[in-house]
Amino acid sequence: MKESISGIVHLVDDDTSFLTSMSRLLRASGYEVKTFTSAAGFLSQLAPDATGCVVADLRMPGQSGLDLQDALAKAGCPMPVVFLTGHGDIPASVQAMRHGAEDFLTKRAPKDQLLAAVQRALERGTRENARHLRLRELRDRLDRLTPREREVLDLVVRGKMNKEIADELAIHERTVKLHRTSITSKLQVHSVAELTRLVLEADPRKPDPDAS
Amino acid sequence: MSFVTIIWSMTAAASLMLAAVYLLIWIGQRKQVAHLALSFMAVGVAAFAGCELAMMYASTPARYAAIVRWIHIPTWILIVSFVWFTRTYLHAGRPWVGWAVIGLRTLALFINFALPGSINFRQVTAIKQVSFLGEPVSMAVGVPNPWMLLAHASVLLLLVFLVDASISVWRRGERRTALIVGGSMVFFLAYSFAQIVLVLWEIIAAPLRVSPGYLIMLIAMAFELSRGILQGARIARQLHEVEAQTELEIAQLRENLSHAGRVSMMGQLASALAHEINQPLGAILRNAEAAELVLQQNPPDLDELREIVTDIQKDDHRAGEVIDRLRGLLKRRDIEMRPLSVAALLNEAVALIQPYAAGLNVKLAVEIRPDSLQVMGDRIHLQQVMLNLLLNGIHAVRDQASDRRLVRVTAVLNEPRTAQISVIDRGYGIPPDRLSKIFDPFFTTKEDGMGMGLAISRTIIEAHGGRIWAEHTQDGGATVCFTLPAGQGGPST
Repeated sequence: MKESISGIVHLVDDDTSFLTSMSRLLRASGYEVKTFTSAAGFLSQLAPDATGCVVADLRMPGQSGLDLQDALAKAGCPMPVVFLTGHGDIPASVQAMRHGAEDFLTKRAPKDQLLAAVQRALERGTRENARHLRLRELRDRLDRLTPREREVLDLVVRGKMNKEIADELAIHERTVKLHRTSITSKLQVHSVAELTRLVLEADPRKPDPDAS
Repeated sequence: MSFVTIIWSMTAAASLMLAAVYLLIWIGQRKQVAHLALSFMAVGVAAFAGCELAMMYASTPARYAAIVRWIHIPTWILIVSFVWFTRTYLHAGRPWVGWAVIGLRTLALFINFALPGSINFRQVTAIKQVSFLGEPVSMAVGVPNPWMLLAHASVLLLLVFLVDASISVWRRGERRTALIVGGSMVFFLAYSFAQIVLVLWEIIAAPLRVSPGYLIMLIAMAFELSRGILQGARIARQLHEVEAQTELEIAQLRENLSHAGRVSMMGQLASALAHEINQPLGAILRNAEAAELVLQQNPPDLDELREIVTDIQKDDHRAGEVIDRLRGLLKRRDIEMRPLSVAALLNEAVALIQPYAAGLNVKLAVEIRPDSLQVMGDRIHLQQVMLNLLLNGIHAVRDQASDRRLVRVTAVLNEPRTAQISVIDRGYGIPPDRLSKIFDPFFTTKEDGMGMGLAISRTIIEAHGGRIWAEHTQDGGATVCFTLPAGQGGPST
């Protein structure tokens, strides 16, 4: 019996018989399960901070499994998707994997394969979730800075000395020091290294300070 | 009887006959208005001939004068029909000239009847007898009417019209038509016009005798028109042949299309079947796995186990239904019963598999009694059965000595309405206790075999209302036979 890692397995399948049997198996294996008979039904109750993973049938009337995957991506929901299919469907499988599906299995795949995929999906879901939360928190922190402070921060992580920053921004060196104090207290960091790491994490698009 | 009577009566009769013929032709082909115009013209010629005959036997001036008056109606008919015919058959001649001709002539007609005498004679004073074709005929002596020039003008204008039309036709490249049709019209019109002028102005002493000439003209034009009609008939026949040919090709294409459709439909059916059957099968598997886990609980949840067992049975039924439905589809919708030539069926199948057999050094032979044997069935499905049986036969003998590497196919008419086809090989044969088992699904003695060929063949044959069975041949080898309802063909002798 597996330890249920935090997160709910969301089952989506229009075939109620398979849905019930799958739910039974997962619960007997120690997972928390919620069942839905349509993609629309699942999406309509989707909370923005939902955690866990999705196990969906590929072929469903109305929105298909792939449509569901797209909708999740659009909503910015990080829950991984495991696809099940009644029979092999190679083009769909390629498309699903390209869009970041966790796995693609047939409905009659061995139990171990199925459960392993669900476990991996939940673990990945948890990691993704944590990353999302951290990212959000970092961005919130950065938002506390004023525009001028952001300019100073950019130059600091690029390794510029206070004097250089003052020259570039046409302000006093004293003012630069004041800004730096404000920055470190707002961002709750204690060193330039920490500062740099925070900026990189929050915004990977920023140029590498070592490259300047 | 006098020559005059004979010739002029015959002219009138022949013209009337031509008129009738072309009227009938026009009724058959309303679009060809030229035929109606020609018919009109012939009526005009007939009436004109009648009038000429009456004039030649006129005994009194009054009578002669009266006929001269009335002859203008046939003349009007002739002139109008000349214009009409030229426009509708030759499609030539300037229309405004044609209308001018008709207008002038109609005016002349009115004046003719408005005047006390006729447009030709103010007064006919006496009758003179002249000798014509060996007998005395009448001709008039009288005071010519200057209005006659109006009538002459209309004829001259008509001549101009006809000459212009003939030249257009000649320039178009239709030289033969220009000469025969246009030329004859111009010639006979000019000739008769000259004669009329000479006679009426009493320049020569002779009766009016133009109608036989017009008859010759009519005959010439009839010949020309007949050529057109014959050509039309020939083209119509050619079109029919092309039509029939195209019909055949379309039927062939339709069959190919429906075949392709059925083949792809089988593929689609198979794919749909796989999907539909994997749902219940998947659910059964998951339920069984869940039950296993539940049983390991302490204590096991018996209520849940009961639910699981019920669900498993439900899904088993569902799977069975899917298979039944497929069988039903195969039987009802997919099989088209048609009369098929057994010879064609067997030879087609043999031809398809011949290269494979030759590659394995196996010979194939077909015997059909009688040659014209027909069965009712679906060609594609029966071909599948034949290929399956032939393949089995070939595989059975591939390892045999060369004199036993032969697969024979025979077809006979059993009872009055049943055909029996047998595939006979001299391979290792089938053990007696297996003879009926070989038709079960998944029964195979081949390593890579699926064991579905004979099972499917049985489904197909039974769907046709026939039987399929296997026999062990005396000198070693196996025979697989099946029966089918015979078609309408069969022994003709």
